[in-house]
Amino acid sequence: MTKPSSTTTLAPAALAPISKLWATVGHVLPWAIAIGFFFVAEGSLSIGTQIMIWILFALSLDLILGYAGIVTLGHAAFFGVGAYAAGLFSIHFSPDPLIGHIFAIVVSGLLGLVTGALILHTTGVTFLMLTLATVSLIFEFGNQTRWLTGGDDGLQGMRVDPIFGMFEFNIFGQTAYVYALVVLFIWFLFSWRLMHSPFGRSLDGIRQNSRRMRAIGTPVWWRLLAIYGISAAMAGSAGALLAHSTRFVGLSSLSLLTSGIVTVMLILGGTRKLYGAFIGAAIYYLVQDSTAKINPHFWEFIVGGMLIITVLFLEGGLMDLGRIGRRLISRFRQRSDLP
Amino acid sequence: MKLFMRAAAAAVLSLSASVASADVVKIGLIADFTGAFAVWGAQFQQGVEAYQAVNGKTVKGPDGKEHEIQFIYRDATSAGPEKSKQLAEELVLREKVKFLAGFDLSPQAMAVADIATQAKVPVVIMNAATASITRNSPYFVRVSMTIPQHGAVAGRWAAKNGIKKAYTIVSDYAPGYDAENYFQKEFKAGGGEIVGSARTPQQETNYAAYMEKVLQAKPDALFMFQPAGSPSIAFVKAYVERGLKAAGIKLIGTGETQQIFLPQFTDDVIGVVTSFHYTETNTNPANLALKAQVTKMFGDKAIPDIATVAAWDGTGLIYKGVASLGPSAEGIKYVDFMKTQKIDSPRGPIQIDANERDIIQNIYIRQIEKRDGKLVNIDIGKEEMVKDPWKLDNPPKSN
Repeated sequence: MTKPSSTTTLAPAALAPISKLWATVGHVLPWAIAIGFFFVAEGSLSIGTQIMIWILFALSLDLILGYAGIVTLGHAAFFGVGAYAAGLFSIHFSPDPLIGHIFAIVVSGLLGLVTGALILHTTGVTFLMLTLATVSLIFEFGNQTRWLTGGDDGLQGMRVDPIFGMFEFNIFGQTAYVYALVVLFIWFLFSWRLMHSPFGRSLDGIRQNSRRMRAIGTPVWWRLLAIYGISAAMAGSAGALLAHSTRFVGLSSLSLLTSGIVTVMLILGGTRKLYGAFIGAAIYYLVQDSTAKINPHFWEFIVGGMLIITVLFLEGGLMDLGRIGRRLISRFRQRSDLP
Repeated sequence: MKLFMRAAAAAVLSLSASVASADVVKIGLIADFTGAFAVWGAQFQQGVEAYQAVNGKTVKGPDGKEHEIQFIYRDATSAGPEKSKQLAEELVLREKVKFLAGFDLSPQAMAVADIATQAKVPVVIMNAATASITRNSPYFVRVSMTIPQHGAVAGRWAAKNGIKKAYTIVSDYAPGYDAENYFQKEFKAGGGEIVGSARTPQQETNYAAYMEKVLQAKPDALFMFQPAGSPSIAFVKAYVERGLKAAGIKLIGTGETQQIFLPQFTDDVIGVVTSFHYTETNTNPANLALKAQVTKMFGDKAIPDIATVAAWDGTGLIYKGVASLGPSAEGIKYVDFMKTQKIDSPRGPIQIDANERDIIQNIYIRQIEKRDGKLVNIDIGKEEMVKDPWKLDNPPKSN
């Protein structure tokens, strides 16, 4: 992390500028799709809910991996702890989903701050190893404390009250869908504001050259700790959504594979763009779901192939397709400008 | 809003009833077809297809009409339980399935309990073995096994067969704890003494240190519960290499020596005794029929095992239900019908517990032998019609 990892944030001057109209369309589109899906997807809202949960999880990873340059494989720890916190809260304290959700955010956020404080003084491979150790320890804790978590059998007996006492969680999944959409939207606005604030810009600087940032007086460690905690809280929020919409929590939410999948989603979509998480998670999930229906033995091949192509040819993930499109358009325009 | 939801629920349910009367009974089978647990999905599908090949794809209902039985397979991708829940919702709401089936892992089955209960869809569980599962929904029916069935029978058998002192080593996760608990409990009840126990990490492959401790404790037998594949192979290897076999310590297990895993073992495994509900070498007519059909359809490499057998039996149960109730009865009627069923399974006689909707079956004691150059399980004893011991210990709470 001490070396500048990338400078792609500077857009090439030759690019056609995005007009305000198109930018607005770009911002509105994902939410319009999400709202539209609610009305057309009778009987498969559940997949939409799942996708939004993964988007939120990938978004939380983008804050640290994409913006702050913290390479981690332990992010499932916060996702799973959030899920278990929400589940345990509903069993032992109150089945109210909103209070449970806030509880999960606080617990996973604190866990992020504590583990972050312990390991954030390291960088690179050392840090990566320590995140692996953290998630493995928490997984094993979940496995061993069967009286608390149900161990490998999973957490049974969750009850979730209707939201505001009105909107029941049922098999049609409308409540879970809207709930996930609203939570995602709030976190997105928060992330957007955060990443365009001086704080967010300083993270950008830390990623590119942390020594120089320190030299100009940025409290690097504190900034990293802050974003690590925020990202953990967000991942925990995604975990709470998972717990409330599934009404069951399995150990798999804490597994290394979960960390891996969310990383694949983010890289597929593109890091450091916030919307990359949207595209990556949605494409991953939809491709997996649809190809697995056609032939259950095929989806890994397709998703794997997509990832290879993306990594090889699209440095900034699938979000780069937009950039390439714009470059083609500007090239076309330049050519038509010629006499 | 609540009222609206209820109305919508009623509308969809009545819709599903009317669609089902179109003489096609759809069954959604959810299992892992890819990832770490892909072997289960493949076996389920082979079991179902073999059954349908032998018994036809249609069932004559009480109305005298032939009703098509159609399976829809969905891949849970060895992912978390939320995936199986999502698939179950889609199968129920969009495909309007009349039954759900499959479920290799326990969390996958538990995650669909809500859906089964709300949508009143019977769920035939074909593998997931955690004892408590069938209590999670009144629509759950299990045709596979429970972990305590194996552990308890192994413990009783050991106590009755001259073993005074035993040592247990189990894998460190929930099924391991259940196996350990029930083996120790029944063994002690039979007058045996537990001289030591250990829990090993799930992916452990170096058992040397554990074996030394077992040697020092000088038990008559060592009970193991290890995940199939490399852990159990390494376990048996260490047991022989560290001289436990030579010292006369008997090795007792449960599912480690299933037929699908046997080819991976060396001859070290000969003489190991296991307690299990299906022995591939039994000569029941149903077993011979299943084996012949699977070989015919999928070649010599397809080995029918517990998941194939459970899928075969589960399909049979659904066929019987449709034959006697027709294609469009209420979900709970099918469950009630299944509750009293006795089936001649490839594994032997089985029955569905009328109160618990769980499997009652013979548990066989088998020993590994080498016959015609192949390692096989051979029955040396059995305990008849074993109920799930966990449920006997934890009677349902009366409301």
